[in-house]
Amino acid sequence: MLARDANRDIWCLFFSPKDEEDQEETDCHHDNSDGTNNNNNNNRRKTVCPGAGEHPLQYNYTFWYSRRTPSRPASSQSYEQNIRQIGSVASVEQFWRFYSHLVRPGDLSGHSDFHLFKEGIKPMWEDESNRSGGKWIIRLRKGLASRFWENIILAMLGEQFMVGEEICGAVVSIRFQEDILSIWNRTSNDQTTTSRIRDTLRRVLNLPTNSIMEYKTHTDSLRPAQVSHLDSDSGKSL
Amino acid sequence: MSTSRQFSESRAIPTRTVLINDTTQLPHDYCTTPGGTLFSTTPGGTRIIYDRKFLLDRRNSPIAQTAPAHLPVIPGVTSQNVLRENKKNEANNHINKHDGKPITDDAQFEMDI
Repeated sequence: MLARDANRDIWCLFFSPKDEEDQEETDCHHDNSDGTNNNNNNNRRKTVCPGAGEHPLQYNYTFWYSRRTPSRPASSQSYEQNIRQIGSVASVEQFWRFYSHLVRPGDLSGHSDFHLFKEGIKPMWEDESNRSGGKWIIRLRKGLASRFWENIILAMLGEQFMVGEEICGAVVSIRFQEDILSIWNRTSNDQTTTSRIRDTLRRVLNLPTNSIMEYKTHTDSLRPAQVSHLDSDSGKSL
Repeated sequence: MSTSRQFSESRAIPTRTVLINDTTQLPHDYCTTPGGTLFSTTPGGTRIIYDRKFLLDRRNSPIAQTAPAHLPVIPGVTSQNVLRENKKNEANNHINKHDGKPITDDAQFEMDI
């Protein structure tokens, strides 16, 4: 195993299998060979690397879980306290290890969300990666969340959206009478990006007929009744 | 017709561990894997793309089975046991069998991504 020497930047290329237990204890850098280093983790949490024989992801991702109990008001501070990281993944196999040990969203109780965001981006609009951003939301009737969540995150992990660095993460929100799928991107006024995300969603999700996709900027979501609605035929933002 | 056989010595596939100090030292074929994954080359670098089927096929690999280290215990959310597809809430249209193993793909028709 290549240990990281704190005095030099060492790029981990291989981990020997018997060190897999220690794998998540070791800080590592992960270069995408296009010069971008996506492991600038803001949270002081140790980052992860793909292990030997694993298939690396284009980006590392972090699973989060949040829940709001009915007695708490939905202020931003209490929301932050209710959200917690579950773990981070750098490879396809690591993703499955976590995913296979998480309850499916359709089986969550109460007002709960799973978030899968690029490592270093908090699933909150206040994060600098999200401040100028927005999200496509899809409302689903009960019973569909698990399947569509799986499909949207596989598309995201597999880089199907083809919008460069724009994707920030995806959320599945379990609510009382409906469930909501969202995918967040960095730049809400980049119509090329938002259109391409919309088209990819249609292609990979195979949504029920009459499903409506709405695009909301995050700042719009803070104001009541101010929703950016994309007309699906013309592609123009209203 | 083949001529008489010659057996070569068998030996383990040679591997080489390389310590590098800088991105310029990354080998040019760093991003290729034996799995035949598609890597599209774009100016400024490659991008790692996986289709849905490829990702699903990795689900049953041995590396993907054990619980991750430091999985937080959140009752009703995380589980120390591998959770299989729970179908009782889902409408099933179509079942995929995969080499006789337990069904892991959710019931829906194949999509070409």
